Amino acid sequence: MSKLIENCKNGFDKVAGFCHFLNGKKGFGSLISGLISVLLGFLVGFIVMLALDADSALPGLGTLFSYSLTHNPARMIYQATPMMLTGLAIAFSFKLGLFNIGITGQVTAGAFTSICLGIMGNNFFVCMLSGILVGAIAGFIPGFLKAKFNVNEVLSGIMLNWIIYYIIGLIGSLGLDSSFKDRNTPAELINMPLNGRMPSLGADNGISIGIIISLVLVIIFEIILFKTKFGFELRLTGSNRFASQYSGMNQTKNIILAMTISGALAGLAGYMLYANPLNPPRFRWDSSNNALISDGFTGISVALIAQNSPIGCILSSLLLTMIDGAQSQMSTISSAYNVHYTELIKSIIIYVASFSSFFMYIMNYLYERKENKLKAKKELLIEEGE
Amino acid sequence: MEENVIELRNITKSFPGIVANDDISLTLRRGEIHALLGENGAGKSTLMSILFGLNYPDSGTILVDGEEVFIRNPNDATKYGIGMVHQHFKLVGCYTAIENIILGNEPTTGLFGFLKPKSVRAKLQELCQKYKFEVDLDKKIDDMAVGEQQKVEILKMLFRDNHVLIFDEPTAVLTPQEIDDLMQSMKELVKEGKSILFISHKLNEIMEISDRISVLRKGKLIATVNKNETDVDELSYMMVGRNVDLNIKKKEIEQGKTILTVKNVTVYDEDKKKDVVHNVSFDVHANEIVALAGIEGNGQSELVYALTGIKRIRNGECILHDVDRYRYIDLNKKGKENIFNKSIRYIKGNIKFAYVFLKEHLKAFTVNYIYNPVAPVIRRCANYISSLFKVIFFKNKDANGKKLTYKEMISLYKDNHSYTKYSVKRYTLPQEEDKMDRLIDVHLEDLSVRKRCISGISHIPEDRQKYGLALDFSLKDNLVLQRYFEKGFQNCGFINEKKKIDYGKELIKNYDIRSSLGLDSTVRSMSGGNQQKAIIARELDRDSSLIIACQPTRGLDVGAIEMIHKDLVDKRNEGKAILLVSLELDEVMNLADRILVMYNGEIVASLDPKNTDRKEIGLYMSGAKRMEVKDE
Repeated sequence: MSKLIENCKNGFDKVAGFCHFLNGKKGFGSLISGLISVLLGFLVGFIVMLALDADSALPGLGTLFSYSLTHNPARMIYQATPMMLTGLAIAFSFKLGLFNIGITGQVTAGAFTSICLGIMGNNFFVCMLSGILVGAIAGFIPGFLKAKFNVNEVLSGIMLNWIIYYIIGLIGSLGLDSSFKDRNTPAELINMPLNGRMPSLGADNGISIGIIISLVLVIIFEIILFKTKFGFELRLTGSNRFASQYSGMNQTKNIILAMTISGALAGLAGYMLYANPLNPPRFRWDSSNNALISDGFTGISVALIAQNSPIGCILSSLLLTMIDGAQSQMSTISSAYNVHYTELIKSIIIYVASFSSFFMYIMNYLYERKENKLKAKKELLIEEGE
Repeated sequence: MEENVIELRNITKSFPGIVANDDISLTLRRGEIHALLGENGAGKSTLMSILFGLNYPDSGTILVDGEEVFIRNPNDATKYGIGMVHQHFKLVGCYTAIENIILGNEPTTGLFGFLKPKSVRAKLQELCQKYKFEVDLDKKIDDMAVGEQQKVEILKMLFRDNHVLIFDEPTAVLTPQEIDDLMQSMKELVKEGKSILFISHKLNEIMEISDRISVLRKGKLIATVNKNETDVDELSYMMVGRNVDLNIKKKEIEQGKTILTVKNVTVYDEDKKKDVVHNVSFDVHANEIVALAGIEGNGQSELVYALTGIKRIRNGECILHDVDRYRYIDLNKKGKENIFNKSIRYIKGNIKFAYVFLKEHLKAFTVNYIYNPVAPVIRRCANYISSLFKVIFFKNKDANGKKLTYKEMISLYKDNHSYTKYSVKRYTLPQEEDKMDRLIDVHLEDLSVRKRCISGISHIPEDRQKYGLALDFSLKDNLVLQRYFEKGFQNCGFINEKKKIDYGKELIKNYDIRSSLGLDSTVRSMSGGNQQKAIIARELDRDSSLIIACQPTRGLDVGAIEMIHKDLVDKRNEGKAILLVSLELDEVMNLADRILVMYNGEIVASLDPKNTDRKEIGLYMSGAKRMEVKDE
């Protein structure tokens, strides 16, 4: 029995050591730990699949992995583009300890403005800038309230979402010329015209300059967070507010700036959502349906899986679109795997991923503490030896 | 009286990575006071928590009255008659004393479960008479002094008929007078046949009261001795394992020039909704350690937060003298100020001035027109105009009759109107570079934390884990917490990793900070002593003229305390001014050149440690005595 416990302890130590090893290698380590947690998520998902329909579980899993990659990789990439940016926006504000749940409102506002400007005949650049600007304004408001009056950013963010939603509904139903709207369904804007869409990258498969912009932004933000003074302040404030106050960081400025930047990213995502060169979706403001654009909220999952790392957002957004793409195919494999099922798998992955980053953290902490104790003991032995 | 009430046999308890109690055997006899002596982290508290049922031993047995028992939780402990007074009282602040005493053990009537206050009260009054306690049973805990709260805790144990009482560092929060009082009560209790286990690391108290003493070191029981057969030196040797001399030898130094002046400072606390520091004035000089003594919660920490900028000052002035002006200004390679910064400074200064100017005239306008409607219109107009143009028409000559320039008039004007809030940034006024003194007096009241820090204040915070460190960050990040913004540590906003590492290595070497992974280890995983050393290294290494040290040795072991005291005294000898806030009277008496005692947000005494003793300080600390502290 004691041997078993000993073995368990040893195994535990090894896992802790491995986690520590991963954590030590900053960017690389978090990448691997993210991958491990995603695999864990798939494992749990696979168990659920087995429970539902044991025979088709394996082909089902294969489809989840490979369908998007083999059948329509371009679609996977252009759908992941705005998702990446929303994830980045959330991750960025998370670093400061703020939860920018107003992201949906920012996406909506950015999208609506840029589409309207596009319909009015402006080019891609103007549309994009307008989206960024409006998103930034929508992000500024909860940031300002938080910094100056300590209003909870979640509360003001959610309320702002609905305010933006209904304002757009109001503008759409009263203020807009009929040339903006679809003739058959009046609660929809017409598609973003060609002049406002993002320039395509050669092949006509929907992949546009947007993916390049997103990748560049991700890299820029990785640098900002980990290499600059501003990033250091953000991370420190997020980790311990009091210590940042003590060392004299300007919290008001940092909070407002971080929320504004987060909003700008969301606004950009809003533009990209409705402006990819190949059949972009239509913008609805249908108030009777009472549903916000869900793409903002997907950003939260993206950031969670990526464990708030900007680079991780690229991979996690690709992962989520991969699963989304395979959704239709899944139901053909087994009748048990319907839409709800893929959603379930997705949420399980997110759940496990967020849990295992916590797991990683604890293991690393335990490992370091053990090392400290060992070192202290060694020193003690040396002292006593003397 | 040789009967053993409690017997601990071969108790071993280990936590991951550390053996907290290693094969400890201990007996407690009826009617004795048994002291448990040891440094922080020696395993005293673990042992007591095992006895009180908060922890289980890995091996070993506990005998109560000769019978082996298992104590699974505090309720079990109470069943066997074991009670504990914790270091931080477990009382509900908004309940009265009597409600707190019956909490968890409420005597109720059978069927409906109504409380039986009368019988409780009768029993408590009897107890109070027996042990000569003076406790108002209907007073709320929040309104009580700390000593009184402790009595409530003791009453709580007596009410439950406990005959074994554990006191966990009971004297840490008390004044010397209250300590005497407590000792008296303990003697009374023992006379009545109770047995007391008394945990402390203060040798004097232990020698005064206990019958037998057990010394723990690093989880091991070193010895159990009778009081009569030992002395303080032997005990301290047993406790630490080597000879320690905590009496720092300071060389006599003439106090230097004034570094910090605090004048009539009042601090308002937003949580408590009242002023927590009233009208406090004092000076700190170079080559001097000024200690702020007092019981916890008498405004010392708030005063320090106000000085360092974490809290706002509501009223009054504090001035840091002889600050190098160039600390504020980024100079370029030619030794000139960056033109952009200069113009921003210029514009800011003018905007501030215009704001004050307008506000002043608005005030003159309101006073003369709105609040004084009875006066004749012409007089009101004249008043207003006169006050409006006062600065130009009436103040254009100085005391010697020399005509002033416009700029001088402005500064005079600002001096005469006590707008401390805006006159603080006098150095931002546009002035000729070379005509200004290099050393200036800086008003701290309205400066940001960052500005105060670069003008020369180092702050060793009271709560090192809350304010002092970002626990999840690496050691090297924490070591540059007050410097990362300086040129060299960052260039154009990009952090210079190499410089950070070099600097960290240097500090680790100079201040002997130990951690498993060196610069990359997370601060959370480091021991308390090393965390504190990291803060001390960071704060002392900056060349600040004023060092504010808030309980720098709280919860550390003797070795670390020794080293920190030495560092502080070294800095004093170098010519720094040190403001030390401490709850430990020993520390205050040892280090200070001057002792200021705070009580209820006011400074009630300014004492010279050579001409005073613990008793006298205690009287001031408890508010029983006060002297008029003259403004220097």
